[in-house]
Amino acid sequence: MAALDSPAGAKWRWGFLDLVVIVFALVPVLWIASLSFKTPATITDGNFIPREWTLENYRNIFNTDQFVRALVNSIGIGLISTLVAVVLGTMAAYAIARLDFPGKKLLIGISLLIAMFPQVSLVSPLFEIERSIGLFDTWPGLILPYITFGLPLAIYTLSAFFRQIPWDLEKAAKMDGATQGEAFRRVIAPLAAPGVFTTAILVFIFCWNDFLFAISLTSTERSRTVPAALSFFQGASQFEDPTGAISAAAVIITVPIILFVLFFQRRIVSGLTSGAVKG
Amino acid sequence: MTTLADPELKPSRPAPAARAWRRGPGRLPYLLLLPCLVVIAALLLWPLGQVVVMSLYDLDSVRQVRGDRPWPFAGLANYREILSDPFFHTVLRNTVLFALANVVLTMVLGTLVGLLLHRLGRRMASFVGGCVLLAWATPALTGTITWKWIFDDTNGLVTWLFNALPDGLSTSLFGRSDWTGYGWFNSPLSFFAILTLVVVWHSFPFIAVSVLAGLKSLPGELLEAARVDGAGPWRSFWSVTFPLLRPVFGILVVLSTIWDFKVFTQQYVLAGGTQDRPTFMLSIYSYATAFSPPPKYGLGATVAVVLTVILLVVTGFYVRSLLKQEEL
Repeated sequence: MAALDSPAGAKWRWGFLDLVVIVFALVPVLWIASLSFKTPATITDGNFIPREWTLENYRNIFNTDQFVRALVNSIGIGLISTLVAVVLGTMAAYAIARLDFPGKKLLIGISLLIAMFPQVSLVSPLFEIERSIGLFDTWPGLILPYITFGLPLAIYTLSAFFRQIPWDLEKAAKMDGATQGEAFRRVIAPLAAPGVFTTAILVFIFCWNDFLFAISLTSTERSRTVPAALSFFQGASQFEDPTGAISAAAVIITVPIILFVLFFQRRIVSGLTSGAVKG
Repeated sequence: MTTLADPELKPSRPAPAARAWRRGPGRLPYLLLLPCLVVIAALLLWPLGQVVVMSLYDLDSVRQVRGDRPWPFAGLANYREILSDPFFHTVLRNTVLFALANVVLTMVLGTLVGLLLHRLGRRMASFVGGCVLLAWATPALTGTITWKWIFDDTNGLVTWLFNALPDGLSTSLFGRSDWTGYGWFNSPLSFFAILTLVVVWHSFPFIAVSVLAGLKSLPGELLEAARVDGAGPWRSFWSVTFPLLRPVFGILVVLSTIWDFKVFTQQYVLAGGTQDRPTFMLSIYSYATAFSPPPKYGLGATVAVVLTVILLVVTGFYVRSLLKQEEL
């Protein structure tokens, strides 16, 4: 709160800096939102605020099978991958945070190593494997690599969250006569739920935003997710000027992520920073 | 399996006899970990082994990939071809220089924003922090498409901005007054500058919130004491904040290095595919070698192996420094 006791001039300077940061962070987001509401005639006018507002672009993309299918694929593939990664990750993170066993550090190290692994290295072998066993261009074909990279992320974030839980409460509950299962369900699960939820959001964001696997392991609408479909809008002839359609689709896939961030900002930040700052 | 049920043998655990009756918990961790390990082994090790195998063969058609045609063994020929190719050295140089520039810029900008957030009031910090996080949350694809449009040669915001400059000023500074039709992506240098802008835009928020979290964990009295002793912001950052947060900065630098080495989506979208060879970096080079016609899956796999080895070394540093500072 040092800003309060400094003179007015300094306050303005800090305010100006805030503004610069906000503008830099938001201009691209606002620009694409603005484009998505413009009519074809005004889309190239360079105005930041649309002169004529229209929902035409949104109506158009929701009327194409190409986009709606992709949206369904994105949601389905993202949710399934997240669910599997978080369930398996919770089990592993519980073991890591709660129980002492040899090889624990090695395990965390390996999961970090995988989380940081260059996805592009796995693209050509996955392409080869999925081609030969028939998973290419199917939902599982994308879900499996998403689990591969979502799981280590989940293990790591969750074990950081779990370490902060006051586990002595469990012991106290057991002294009061609760069984191990009851103690877990009544005492620990409610404490762990926020961490699990935050992890799920982070994993979902990873799956939802992926572009590399989506363009490499799909070839038709059957399993193409929105990011992959979007890159085909550019060349598609059914849209005369794809700018409006692309920007509307881009807004649609950005909005859920933005809502997550707005509603769960504090949690997401604590999940994100658990890797760099000791909680 | 000999290490399995013997947590009692660890010297740090006292009274082994008292714990001996707890046979169950000894096996529990492994039961909980088993599904994870199985999944990771199947999903990661299989393709990982496969990429090494592929790098040893001459593969140039989808038929071979599907298994309909034989794979001619090439030994280490692919590695020799890549490592002796002057283009590979260009790619490597691009990657290293790009990562270096981006790590420095991301760290500086992220740290500055983190410091800014730290001195704001609660509400303002959460507002500005929220705005900044939006940049982080925007999918790489949509963020990059937008930046590409911002630099569009006719309707882009930047083109419009430069056109709005007084003609005389614009001519004397840049030698042109009409920017319509100016190809911002044409020269490799300006392409890399824009790519850097996009990547920094995507990654500085993470650094900012991490630095902020680190700053919050510092005891306030120390900075106060430095201020009382007459240290300016510059001085107190370098002699108080930085030394205390050194581990955090260390990890953030390594993390940024890893991410900036792997940049793919932003480059692919900004360049409009894999045609712009002079600006290739390792990720897109590996992808383009494997998938751009004529496809060379074997050679692409070789590049992937090289990229992985380089990154594993960097990641090794990260994991080591992280495990060192953490009590698990």
